[in-house]
Amino acid sequence: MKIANYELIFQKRTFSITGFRAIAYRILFVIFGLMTVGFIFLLNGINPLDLFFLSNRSMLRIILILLPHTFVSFIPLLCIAIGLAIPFKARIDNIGAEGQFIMGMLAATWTAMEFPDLPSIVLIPLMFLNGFILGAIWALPVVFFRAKGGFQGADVVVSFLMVFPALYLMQYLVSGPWRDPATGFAFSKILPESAQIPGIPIEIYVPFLDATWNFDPVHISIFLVLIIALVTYYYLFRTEEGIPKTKIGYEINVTGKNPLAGRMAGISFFKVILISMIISGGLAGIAGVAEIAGNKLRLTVNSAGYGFTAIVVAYLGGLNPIGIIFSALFFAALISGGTAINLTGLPVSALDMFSGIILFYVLLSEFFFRYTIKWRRS
Amino acid sequence: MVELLNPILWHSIVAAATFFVLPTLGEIYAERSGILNLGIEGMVIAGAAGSYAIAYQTQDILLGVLFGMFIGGLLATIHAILTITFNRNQVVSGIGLTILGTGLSGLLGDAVVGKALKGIDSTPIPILKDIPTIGEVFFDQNIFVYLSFILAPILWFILYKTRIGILIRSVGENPSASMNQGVNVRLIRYLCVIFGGMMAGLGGAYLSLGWLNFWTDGMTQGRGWIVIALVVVALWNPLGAFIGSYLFGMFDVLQFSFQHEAIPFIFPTGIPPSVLKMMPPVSTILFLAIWGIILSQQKVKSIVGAPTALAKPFED
Repeated sequence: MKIANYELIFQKRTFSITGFRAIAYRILFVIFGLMTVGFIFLLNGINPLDLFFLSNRSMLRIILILLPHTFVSFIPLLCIAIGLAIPFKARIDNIGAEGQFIMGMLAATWTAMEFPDLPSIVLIPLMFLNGFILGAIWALPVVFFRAKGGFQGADVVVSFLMVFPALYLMQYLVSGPWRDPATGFAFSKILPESAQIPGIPIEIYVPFLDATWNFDPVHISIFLVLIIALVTYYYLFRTEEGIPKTKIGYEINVTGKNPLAGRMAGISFFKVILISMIISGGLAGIAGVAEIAGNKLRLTVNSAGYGFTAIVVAYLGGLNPIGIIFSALFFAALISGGTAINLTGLPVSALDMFSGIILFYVLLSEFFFRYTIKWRRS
Repeated sequence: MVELLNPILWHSIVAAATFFVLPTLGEIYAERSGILNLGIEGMVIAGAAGSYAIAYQTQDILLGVLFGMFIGGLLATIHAILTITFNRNQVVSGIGLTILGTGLSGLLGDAVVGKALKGIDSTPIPILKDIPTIGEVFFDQNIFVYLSFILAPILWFILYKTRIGILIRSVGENPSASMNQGVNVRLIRYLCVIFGGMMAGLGGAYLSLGWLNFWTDGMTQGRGWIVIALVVVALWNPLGAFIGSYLFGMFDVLQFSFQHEAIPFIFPTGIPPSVLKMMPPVSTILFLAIWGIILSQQKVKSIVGAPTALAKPFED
């Protein structure tokens, strides 16, 4: 690319950047993203510094006050994003996690209403199991289209379109057969007590914020999600000198990096897609169960859109469960800070804009892992 | 029973189909040049919000439409920079574009949610509108619809019968060979992707200003994704896009006709609206399933002429 007398050239690095330098690059590009969003706010006549730091209702303060509540969105974001990282790593673009998440919520509600008399110790695991199964079933069409589809992007389109049947099914059930006659709204009945995920309520007074942190009971499922993160890391992502240690982890990696070589080496493309999509859909389903049984306690007509934000979370975390824990925390804090955005008069969807821009910058940062830019006089 | 021969029904099918025609034509050009842009949904919805906001504030419809095209083109430029200059994954960049466009639409349209604006009137074409039924259905529409009638054949002609068209198709077929022939691959791809974005923005402007005449968050209801499916159904051919769009326009409109139809045992009091809303996405998925099986044969692929280099990274 030439600009005036100078030429812009991309030079390949001898070694691509990994480890801590890669993380530093990511953080740098996230800061670029924040600056871009700040610039857009500025165009709208809102001082971004005010929004983020200075004012009494600044995002930072609200994030700190709402810190315990960030875990409410942290749990589904982390669970879905880990599920997404597996197919993404194999270059299977499952962007319909939202639909799989909704199916998980439906499975939880159905199980709880069908077997309210079971003791918690049986009922709650059963809900998670059903959530996993239904979420995985909802992801299966993607397998078919990825393996047999005749063109690029079919799997992406189908995985997205599967969100709508799930969403409308939920709307139908909530406003029809499952509607709670006691309220005037389209709500389902509150889950029976045996189906609610128990937790230990904690209250901490924080002097410098002049506020109380109320940790919600939802926090017992946080352990489940963190265990899932560690287990998937151990069995699918763990590497030694850049090579995955487990067989399935290696197969997923090869399928993503060089499917032709993988096929030559006898790796079944179909098997990798099937396994990664079942885990992916299943984890999104589990996130849905945790959301219903731990947080919302009843179905409503809409869903929070975690499935889409989780795509960005997965990429920001470098498609690695450990990185995703941190990027999920970051986005969970942003979601609760979104309330601050709302207070300034901007719509909440400004958060979507932010996610999109972050995704672009993360993509761009990966370019600089392998290349450097140089200006040369021509 | 649903009256399938009612001209008013077909009038609204034409209106719905026009929305699909415009972005599909643009996406066909982008994909023919080898770049898959999954961000159609984002560009359409940002275009719809932007054009409505500008048209409302300036009370100038044309300015609104131009702004919608500008927004679409701008978003497509981001995609082009990332995928063509920096060679990033086209699928991920497209998803980012969708998320960004959705957010941007909320920002742009925030001030005009629920505000009424007189959209574009229908301009009947003098002699043609007097043809019984057909005139009423096709020639009593607004200017966007006529534009789609004209654009489809023109874009088909450019793609298949001119030098520019050959360049675009060769770049999508075999970029290295084209480059060796002295073709500026990147420039052509840039132009095609930006053209695709502007067409998506135009589709968005039609959605909010020409067809539905309002703006609300998430008003596209995923129609942008159907466009991507449509490109495949159309076999990457502008004329096919026209036919495919009418098919999907029918799915889109007919769902409302079944609202009062009772199905014994399942829905004795009529099909609930949320079940009917499933029809367009579910029919698209089924359609893609059948189409995917047919297209998966390599032989068919070569006859159809799907762009070989689509979504493949190209480094020179």
